[in-house]
Amino acid sequence: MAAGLSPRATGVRGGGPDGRRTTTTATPTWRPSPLTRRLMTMVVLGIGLGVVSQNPTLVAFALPGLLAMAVWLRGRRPERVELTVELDTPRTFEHEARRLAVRSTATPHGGAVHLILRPESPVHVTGDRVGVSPLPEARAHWRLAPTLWGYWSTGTVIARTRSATRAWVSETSLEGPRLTVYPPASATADAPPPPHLRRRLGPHVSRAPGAGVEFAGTREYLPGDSVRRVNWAQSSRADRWMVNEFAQERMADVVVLIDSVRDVGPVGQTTVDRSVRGATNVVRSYLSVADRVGVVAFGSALRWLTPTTGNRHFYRVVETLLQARQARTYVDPSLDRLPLAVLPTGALVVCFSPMLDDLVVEAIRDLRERAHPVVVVDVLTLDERPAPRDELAVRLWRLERQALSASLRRIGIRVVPYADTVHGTLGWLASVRSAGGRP
Amino acid sequence: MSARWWLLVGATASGWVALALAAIGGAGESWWAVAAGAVSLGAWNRRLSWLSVAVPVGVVLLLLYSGSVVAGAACGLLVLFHVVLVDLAEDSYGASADGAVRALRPLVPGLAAAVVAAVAGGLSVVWARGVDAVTPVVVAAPLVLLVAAMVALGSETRREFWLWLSRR
Repeated sequence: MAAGLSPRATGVRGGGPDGRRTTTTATPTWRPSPLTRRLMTMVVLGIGLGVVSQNPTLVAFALPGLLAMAVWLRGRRPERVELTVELDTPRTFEHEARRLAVRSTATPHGGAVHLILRPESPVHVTGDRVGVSPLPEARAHWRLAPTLWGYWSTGTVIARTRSATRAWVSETSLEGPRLTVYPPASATADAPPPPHLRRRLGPHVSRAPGAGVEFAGTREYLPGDSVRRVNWAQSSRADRWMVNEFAQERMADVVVLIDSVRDVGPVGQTTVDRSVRGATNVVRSYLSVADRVGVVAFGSALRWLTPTTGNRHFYRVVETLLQARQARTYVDPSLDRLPLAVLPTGALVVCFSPMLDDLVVEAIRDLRERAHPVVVVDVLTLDERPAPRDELAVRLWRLERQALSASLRRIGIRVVPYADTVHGTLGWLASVRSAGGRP
Repeated sequence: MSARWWLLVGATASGWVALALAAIGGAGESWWAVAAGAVSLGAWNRRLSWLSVAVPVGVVLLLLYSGSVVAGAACGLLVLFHVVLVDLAEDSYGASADGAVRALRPLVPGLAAAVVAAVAGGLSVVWARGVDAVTPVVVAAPLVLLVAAMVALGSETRREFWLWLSRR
């Protein structure tokens, strides 16, 4: 029975300054233990049937249990139970284990405390879920490995306190600290450069000549050129002064848009799960090469982050992505409500979407009309072979999807299937850019 | 062997001896004892420990129509041991033998009171009825053995146990 704190037992409840620890102090509410209930059954059965059947043997049978119970019910009981649940760190990535330490003290000493953990479903617990310290001060440790990104509770910890003679039992429960689980992010060292680059110094080699380190070609010397840039070998062959040209190195703006209007698919592999994982990879890759990355969560609530750089920004972006499932509103999302700075001119927009809602498709078209290079990553897949009677319907549905993709391609939007890596999703960008085409 | 294993062995043994004693001394069908003993093995499973209730119910059914007072008291004592050991075994996952003994210590006064009451009550009734001297000795022997086992259990631990017992 998962009894919580009873009204009478409510004591002090608090948490650590960083949300890693929760603690409570309660005055226990006692009830007969399973041992007492069993003995009571034995005594009532023996004495009751003995009196009814006028059989002294059954009364003699019940006598030891009655005496033992009379002694044990007077046993000492703790007056206060303190329960502390502490997590080593409140943030983790999927499948990365964290340590949950639980400590419970019953005062005055004399009872036994037993610790039980009831975790939330996407949190996998390593080790026994029951603490093994039948001592006045019980300690238990569990390793929690969350299997899905999001905000999760570490579960409910129950301290089952018994009196010294085990005749009474009380339960104090405490909700564990909140665990923030990030989707796994794998940074790609050479993120594919977007088609349009900003006029700011950055990591990507542009086609325009300028002050970089990447060799771009040679040209005739012009007044003002540095002597250090003279290409001596070619100058001697051409019999005139030739200088080396270098490519400019510029930064890119990337905006990741995830569509959480519809969420379909098996748990852990839904379209929103895939969108968040894919978006995290893209964000991590471009931030690792010092590009500016922004995010727009296009769901039942519209959330955004203005593009900027830095590793700290990564965690802000992921926090915004994690809220994709939480926020709910009845107002339809619209890109018109976004501040101008969220979508800088020419920024590459990567949309992770199952394209199941007309509102989202219209928003994607709207982005293209604003002259952004747009890439749509289709996170909806149907790998299973349909049943024979559904084959026609699935075929029609696929044709509709192909028609939708074709209509998007006609206005310059590239639709690519979802892949686990950034190169799998956006690797084609490098070839498009070198050929000078559009995405 | 873990502490839980030993506790469950003790619980099974005491339960079966109680059922056997009730089957010998009572007038019920003996197969009830076998059935109740088999069902009580569910106590070895963590989720089925409540099946240990088969032992007291089986003993009561066996003793319902007849049986001696001494046999009834002895059965009551053995069933008490059975219930206590099953209850201790429920919480003893991963516990050391020392931890199990520590959990058993506070129960000693109640168990001692039960043993003394059962032995004194049973023997007084027997002698009051003028039964031959062999029967009470046969019936009291397992009870004496149980008390000796308790003493041995205590002496295996530390000397503080005896100091603690004397303080109570």
